Amino acid sequence: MQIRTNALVSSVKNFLIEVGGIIDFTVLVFKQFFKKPREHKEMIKQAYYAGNKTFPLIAITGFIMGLVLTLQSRPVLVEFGAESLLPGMISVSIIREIGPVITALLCAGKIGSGYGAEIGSMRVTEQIDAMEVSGINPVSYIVASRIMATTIMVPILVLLADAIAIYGSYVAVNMYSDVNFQLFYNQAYNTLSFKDLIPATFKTIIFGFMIGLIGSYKGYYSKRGTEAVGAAANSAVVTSSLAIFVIDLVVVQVTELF
Amino acid sequence: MKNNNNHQLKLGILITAGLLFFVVSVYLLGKQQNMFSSDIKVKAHFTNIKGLQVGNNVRFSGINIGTVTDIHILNDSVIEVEMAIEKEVTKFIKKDSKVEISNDGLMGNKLITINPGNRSTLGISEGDELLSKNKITSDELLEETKNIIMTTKTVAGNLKEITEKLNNGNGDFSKLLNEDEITSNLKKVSGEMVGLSSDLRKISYKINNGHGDIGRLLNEDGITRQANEAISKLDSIAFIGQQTMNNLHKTSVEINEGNGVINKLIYDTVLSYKLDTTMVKLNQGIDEAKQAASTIDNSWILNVFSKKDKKRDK
Repeated sequence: MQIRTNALVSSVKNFLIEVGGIIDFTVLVFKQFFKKPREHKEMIKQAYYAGNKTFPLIAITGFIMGLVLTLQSRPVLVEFGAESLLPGMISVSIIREIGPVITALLCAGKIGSGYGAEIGSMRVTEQIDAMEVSGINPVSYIVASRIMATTIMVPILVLLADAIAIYGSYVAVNMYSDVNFQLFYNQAYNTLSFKDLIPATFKTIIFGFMIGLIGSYKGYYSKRGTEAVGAAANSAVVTSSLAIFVIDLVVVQVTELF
Repeated sequence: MKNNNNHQLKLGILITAGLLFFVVSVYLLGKQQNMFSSDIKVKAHFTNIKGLQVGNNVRFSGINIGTVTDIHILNDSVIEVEMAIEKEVTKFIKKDSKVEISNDGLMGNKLITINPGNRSTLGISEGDELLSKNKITSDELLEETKNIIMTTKTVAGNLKEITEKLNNGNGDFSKLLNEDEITSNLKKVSGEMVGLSSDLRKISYKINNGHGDIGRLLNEDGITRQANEAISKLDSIAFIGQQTMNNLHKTSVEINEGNGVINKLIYDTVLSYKLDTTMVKLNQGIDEAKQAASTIDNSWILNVFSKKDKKRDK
């Protein structure tokens, strides 16, 4: 019992240390955003890797997401004679929740783990230490540029995933009936409002920031040794995914207030 | 350097595509809520807005022409709803148009429907208040449905009672349904009717073929001609009779009013008295003549010449 209690206390303590560490790191990164030198080129390079290299994965997933969601929802709506509500229902589901969350999870898996492993290996191979010695600010060059890149690119990827998912839904609807593309998009957008689009887009900015932040944090503060690189990558994915759901919950509650 | 530019180009395309989708989405949603078109504000007062929200559509003849922009309570029974209506359609919405809160389909959002007003009235303008019309709510509909079901239940109960009575009772309808006596009577009657119709057919055959007086009456022209002649003769007789009557009338008028003998005989009392006197005198004259005759008959002069005859008579 005593051992269990100690383990629990230790876990809680570690969790709180982790939270405190992330907050410290966030403050450090935020300061860096407004400080010179700004690493624009590195940021564009990271944005390219985070965006363009992830896009095919996002595109395929988004298309399948829209297609499958439509195929699964259609029979229930057909039973109620409400097939015409399908585009509206799918568009609301995708824009509000499924698009942002699934895309953010994919980005956490691909980009977050990549950052964790990349920066972790820099730490292990003492490249970060070498930068500090040679007068280059590693937080600015490695971390801030990456976080800025994900903060910009994740919302863009989510928007593209939404568009592709709605197109996937259109394809699925046309498997069973002949629906005009314009009619489909009219029905989809008639159901949507700014209340659906704006909070969801705002949410993805936070997702992007958190994916970059957690991935970089895990890599930046990884332990010495090759095992630590894998652990950092793994931990980055797990923590980012958890953070995405927590942020989603908080943002939904906050936007419901308005 | 070339590779770096290539990366930047691809990144630019990706970001532009994402932002383009965002901009298009914002434009479409904004257009749907009339954010990019000039509009006017009108209002309507309701007692119950049935869950209408800011942003719900305003529809006129099935076309979305605006949105609800504000809802606020004026007092305990009046709620003011403000609507933004596209300026270009205001000329079609007349000042006496009526608004009501409807549903977009069975499960859809609430919306405001504007019913067209009188053509002769002017189009709406900024700040106008449209008349509201309360539509039946789903609760009222359910209540009405409940009443109909209750009525139907009562009617079904009554029908059940009637059918039970028809099946088991002793009334006329029940007998009609349950007993064979009436049917057999009807069968008998129908048999008689068949015989009757056969007789009628024979009669009509005879009549059609001119047998008997009725047949001749219906089929031959001679009787009609004779009847016509008789009628014309009757007409002549009636004419003569009329003339006779006129004459009689004339004569009676003459008798009553004229100065003839008959009038005097009837109405003149003096003449009557004179006639009486004359008659008396005549009677007296006759008596006297009789006496004279008797005297003559008994006179000896005349008897001289008549003795032989007396003997012969004896």
